[in-house]
Amino acid sequence: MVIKLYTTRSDANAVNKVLTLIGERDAEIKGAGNTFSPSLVLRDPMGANYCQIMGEPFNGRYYFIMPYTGAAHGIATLECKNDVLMNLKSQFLQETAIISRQENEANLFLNDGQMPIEARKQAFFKEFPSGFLTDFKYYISVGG
Amino acid sequence: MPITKYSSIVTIEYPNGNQVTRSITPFGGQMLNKYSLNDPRLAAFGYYNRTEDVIALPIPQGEVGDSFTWHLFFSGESGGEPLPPVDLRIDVRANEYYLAMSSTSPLFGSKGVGIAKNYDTMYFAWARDRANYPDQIDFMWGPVRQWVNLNGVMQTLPCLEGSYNNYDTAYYNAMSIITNGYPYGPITDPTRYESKPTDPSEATMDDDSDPIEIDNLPSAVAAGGLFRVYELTRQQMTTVSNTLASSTIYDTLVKMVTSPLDYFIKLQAMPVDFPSFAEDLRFGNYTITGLGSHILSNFITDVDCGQVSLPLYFSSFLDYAPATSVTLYLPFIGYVPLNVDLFVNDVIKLKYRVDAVSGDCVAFVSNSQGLVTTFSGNCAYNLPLRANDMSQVVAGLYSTVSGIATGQAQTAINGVGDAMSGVMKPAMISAGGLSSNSGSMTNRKPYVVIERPVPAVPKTYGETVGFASRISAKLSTLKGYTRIEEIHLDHVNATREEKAELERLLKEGVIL
Repeated sequence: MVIKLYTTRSDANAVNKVLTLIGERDAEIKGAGNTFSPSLVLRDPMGANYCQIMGEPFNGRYYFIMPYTGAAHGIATLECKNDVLMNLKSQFLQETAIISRQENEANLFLNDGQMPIEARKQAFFKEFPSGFLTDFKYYISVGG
Repeated sequence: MPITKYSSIVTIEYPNGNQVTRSITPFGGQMLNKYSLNDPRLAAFGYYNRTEDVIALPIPQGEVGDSFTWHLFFSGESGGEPLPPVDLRIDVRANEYYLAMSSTSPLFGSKGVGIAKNYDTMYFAWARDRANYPDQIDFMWGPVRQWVNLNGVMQTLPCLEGSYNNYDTAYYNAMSIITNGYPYGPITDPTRYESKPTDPSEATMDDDSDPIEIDNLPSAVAAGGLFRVYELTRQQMTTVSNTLASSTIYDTLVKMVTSPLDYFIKLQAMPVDFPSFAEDLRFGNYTITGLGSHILSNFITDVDCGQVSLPLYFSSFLDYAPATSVTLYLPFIGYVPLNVDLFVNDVIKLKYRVDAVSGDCVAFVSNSQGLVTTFSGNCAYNLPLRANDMSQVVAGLYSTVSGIATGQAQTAINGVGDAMSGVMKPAMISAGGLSSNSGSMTNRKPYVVIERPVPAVPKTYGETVGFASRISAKLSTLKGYTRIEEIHLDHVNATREEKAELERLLKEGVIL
C-alpha cells in the first residue's frame, strides 16, 4: 500500500498541521482493518513522524508515527495513531459545541478559577470630596 | 473665540449590542503637529498622561480586513444643542487599528465657504501600531473650526484659545482604550448565551427597577417651644457660664428650679453646620440679651460627602467579589464592608443625616440606581454640664458606640471549581466602632479602601490555557486554543474509536 511520509512540527492538538512531504513508500499494513492504530512495515522511513495511508480502507487518512528505534536490515515497523483532528476536521468543525475555554471568545466576567493570582493584594484609597467640618461647633440644648 | 470645554459622558455600544458608559473630563494641551485633512491617521496633537482617563475596554481582535462599528453617545451640549451621536468605524489593518471617520458623521455639520465656523465636536483618530501596541487605541475629540482656503480645499483645525495661527492651546476630550486582547464588551454577547428561563409562559422578564432616593429632610422641627437648641461659640459659652454664676440671675428666675442649670439638658460639640437664625439664649424666663447666639431652625441636617467612582480596573471577574473588596471608612461609624458588586463600574454616593438633639447620624450609601444601605453612629462629642453629669457622659459613650464588627472574611464562590490563591483571603481592613467621643478623634472625611488582586497571567495564557468562555458556537467560527465542554458528534461519519478520541481531544483542548 502506498504511504506518503511527512515531517511536521505542528502541535499534536492543532487541527490544521503544516506537513512537509519527504517521500512515498510502499508499505505492508499489519493488522488489516485497524484504521485507528495500524502498524506499517516499510523500508527507510527517512525520519518521518507523520504519514498518510492511501488505499482502502484508510482512504488517505493521516497518522502520527510513534517514535521508533531504528530499522533492522533497513526494514522498520512503525506504530501509527489516527490523527482524528486532521481526518475529521471538515465534519466536526461544522458542529456546535459548548465552549468551556477559548483563546479569543471569552467572557471575562465568568469566575475563572484557573487564572493565577498572586498571594499579595494591592490597596487603593479614594477619599470622598467632602465630609464633616474640621472644627467643632457647640450646641446647647435647653428645656423649659 | 470661546472654547467649548465640557465633560462628556460617552456610551460605547459594541457590535454585539452591549454598552459601556464612561465620563471623560477635558484637558488642555499644546499643539504639536498640524492637522492635515488628507491624512486621516492624524498625528497626535497635544499630549496627555492622565491615568484616570485610561479605561480598560475590550475591542474585538479581528483579522485584517475586518471592520466593526462603535456607536458613541455623548452627553452634554454645545451652543444649546445636544451633542450628536457618532458612528466610529474601526478597520483592522496589518499593524494597526485604523479609526475611519464615518461618511455619515454629523460631526462636521454644514460647511461654510470663506467663513470660519465652529463645530461642536470632532474626533481625531490616533491609529496605534498594532504590532507594538496591540492592545490600545487612543481616541480624542474636541471642538473644531472649518473653512475653505484660497485653493478651495476644506481646512479643519481644532479650536484654540487666542489666534489659531499661534496654536496656543487646544482642549480635548480623550479616552485611551485598552483591549487586553479581549474580544467583546464587558457584558456577555446575548446572541451566544441562553440565560433566560426556559419557560417563557411563567417568566415575567420584569426588568423594571425603581430608583430609590433618599427622602427629603423632615420639615423644620425646632425653634421655640419647650425645647430649644442653640449654637454657641466658645466666647458665648463663657458668657453663659458667667451669667449662671452671678447672683442677680436668682432674682429674675422664677424659683421653680433649684439651679438655673436645671434648664440645660446637654452640651455637645459636633463638626456639623445646622440651619439656624440669630436669637439670644433663653432659659425659663431669663434671656441673656446681646449674647449673639443662634437658635437651630431644624434639628436635622444633611452632610453631603459627594461620591467616589469605582470604575472597572480589570474589566473582568477580578473587579467583583471575592477578588476585589471594598471597605468604607465612615466618620463616627467606623470601617464597614460594602458589597462591591453593587458599586463596581458605578459610583459610591455618601450622605449623612445628623440629629442635633441626640447627635445620632445615619450614613446613606447609594449607587447611581439609588439607596443601597445605611449605617448609623453618633457624631456628638458630649461635654458634661456639671460634675455629676460625667458618669452619664461615660454611660452615653457605651450606649452609642456601635459594636465592634470584625473583618468579614471572603467566602468561596458557589460553583467555582478551582480555588484561586490569594482571592479567598479575608479583607485587610476590619470594621470597628468609632462613634461619639472616640469618633471625634478620627478622620472627618470618609474614604474608600479598595483591595484588588494582583493577577499573574502569563503572556501566552490565552493560547495555551484559554479564557473562561461558556458560549455555544460552531467550531468553524472559532480560532485559536479551544476547549469544549460538550459536543454532539452525531453527524460525524467516523468509527466509534475515532469519535471517542475526537471528543477526548476537544475536551482537552485543540488549536483551531
